[in-house]
Amino acid sequence: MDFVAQERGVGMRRLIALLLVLMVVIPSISLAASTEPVTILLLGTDDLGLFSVTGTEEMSRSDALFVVTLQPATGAIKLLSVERDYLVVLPDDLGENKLSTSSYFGGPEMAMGAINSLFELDVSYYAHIDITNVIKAIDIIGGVDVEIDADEVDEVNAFIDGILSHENLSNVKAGMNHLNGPEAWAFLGVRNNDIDTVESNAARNDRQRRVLTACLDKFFQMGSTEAMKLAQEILPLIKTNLTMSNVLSLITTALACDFEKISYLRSPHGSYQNKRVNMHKVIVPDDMPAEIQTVKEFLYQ
Amino acid sequence: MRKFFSALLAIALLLSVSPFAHAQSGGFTHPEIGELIEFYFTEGMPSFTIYGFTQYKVMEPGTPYRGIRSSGTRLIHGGMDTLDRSLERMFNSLDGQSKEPKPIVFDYTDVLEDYAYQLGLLPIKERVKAIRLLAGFDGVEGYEKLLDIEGFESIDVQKLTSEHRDFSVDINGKTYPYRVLMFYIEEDDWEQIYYERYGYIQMNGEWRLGRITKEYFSEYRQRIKYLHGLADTDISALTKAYAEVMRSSNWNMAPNEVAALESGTVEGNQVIVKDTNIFRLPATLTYSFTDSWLSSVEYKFDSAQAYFSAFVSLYIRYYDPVTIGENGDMSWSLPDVIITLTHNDVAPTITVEPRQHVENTSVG
Repeated sequence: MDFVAQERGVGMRRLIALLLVLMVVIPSISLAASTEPVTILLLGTDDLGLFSVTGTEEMSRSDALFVVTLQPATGAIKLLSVERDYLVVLPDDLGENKLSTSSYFGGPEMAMGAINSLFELDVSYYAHIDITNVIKAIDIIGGVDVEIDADEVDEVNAFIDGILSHENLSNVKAGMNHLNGPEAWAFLGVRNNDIDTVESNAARNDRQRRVLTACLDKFFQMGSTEAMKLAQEILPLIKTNLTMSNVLSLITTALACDFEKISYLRSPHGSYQNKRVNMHKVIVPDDMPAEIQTVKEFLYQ
Repeated sequence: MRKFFSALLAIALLLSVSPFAHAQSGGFTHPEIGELIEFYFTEGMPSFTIYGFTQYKVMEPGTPYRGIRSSGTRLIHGGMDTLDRSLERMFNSLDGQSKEPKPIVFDYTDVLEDYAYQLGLLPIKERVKAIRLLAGFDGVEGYEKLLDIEGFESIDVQKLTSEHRDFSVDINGKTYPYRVLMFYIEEDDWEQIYYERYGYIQMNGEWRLGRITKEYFSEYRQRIKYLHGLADTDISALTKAYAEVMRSSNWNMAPNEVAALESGTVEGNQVIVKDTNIFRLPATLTYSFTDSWLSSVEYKFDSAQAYFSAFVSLYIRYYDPVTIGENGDMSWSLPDVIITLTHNDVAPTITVEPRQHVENTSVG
């Protein structure tokens, strides 16, 4: 009996951890029967510091676009990071634009349509969080422990010193660091302008992935009661089209997955061209059908 | 004493520059493009960047670009370089005879593109002459003269004549013949790939350079492809351009017709439509009537920032403004209409009015 109770406790913690990770650090989900793979689009935006001309925008551009698939049959969790500068065609006469701009024009729904069109997917659920709420969420969970590479230290510290004028912020060092919300923002927000934009975005996506993993670790360390309490504070920070019924279905699916089986892929996986189309700096894969096949195989095999 | 005069001169120069001359917008997300744009005025000439990369720039007159003198806010004056002189200086500059970097790629566009090889074989003076004739600056009479230039002996004069089109612009209430040349240039720097446009105005029978603009390279797959003044431009694109700003109205409409069209009401000589938009910018639309006929269409915005956004939207559709006033007011002359963007700290406007002189290229 004790063993069963212990197992349930671990399951609950895993569930809460999964939900928070899916809904906090990035954004979205497609739910079917619990034995079927479930796919969610996760969107992260940065509304800080941008002046709106019209005041009617849905939201800002997406800095982070992840597609997550839970595979209950194998226990695998697939995390696909998608380059935000992909050339896409948007509806409503908006025409050719960057993938990241889709959320600016049409919110998470348009972003989801753009991702589906790009990779021939059928994602129908999303979760979206803005960086302002990521900062809050990380503070709510008491910060995260993140491994920072030596070549990232100067830029993160420059961000902390130059842009974040908050008090009680510490400079980071190479190795493991405990980051509060604003410090995590600095880590997520730095950009290396000396390298190719897509490479710079890839490095940024990798930092997003590390924060995601750090959040996951954090939740594994919590008791289920504490995790549930924090979840109640964090969930209102997330915008999603998941209904309560979807969430319950997701719980069933998530319980069948194993967080040790997370795998990661970034698209474009193959070679690509940098182009400027309609004043947008975009990328176009050299072989889009192959890219689509790689993405589908990664998410669903 | 020299120092005193230098100081006096510096003060005079400073005072002569409009306070608007160095204005800038701050960053904003353009509602049509969805990218972060910053807008600048340097010596009264506009430019803007997208994510810090320059996308468009009207060359300021204070520092002669490629050694060429173009105009500032005062567009019509005798100091503007002639067509021949400006092109000669441009080619000298391309050969490395100016402070500007020597390009690694130079391509002709428009009607000149098909004759790039022949043009490249000619010495500069002859090349300039051929460009002048080919691009229609000397009218249909000029095409015949091409036959005397080496490499052009078998040119199809009849085809050039049949496709010839005249352009004009309205400046301060006067109409001037107008033509544009556009070149594609790449420097040895991936950020320096651009189109360079030269807008010429004919004054007293002489073609003189009004403006030089630089448009950094982008594939405009969805852009309206009408560039006023360019010989081979797509005139049919204007129909779409007009429909956007005129909605479904036309100059032959009476107030009640426009009111019915917009489900609005006639108020004196106006029909006002609130809570509408143009170029994805919220606006109040006012149709004004003179002698019971539609005489202007005005979009009034409710923020200073909308001015900068509206400029970019107008640039996307109509390329280079013809007039650029000291206060930031600008205008685009098209075959049938003149579109004016008025700068205002509270409520900038876009006004569309019929041109006094309607060109033979008119549509709609």
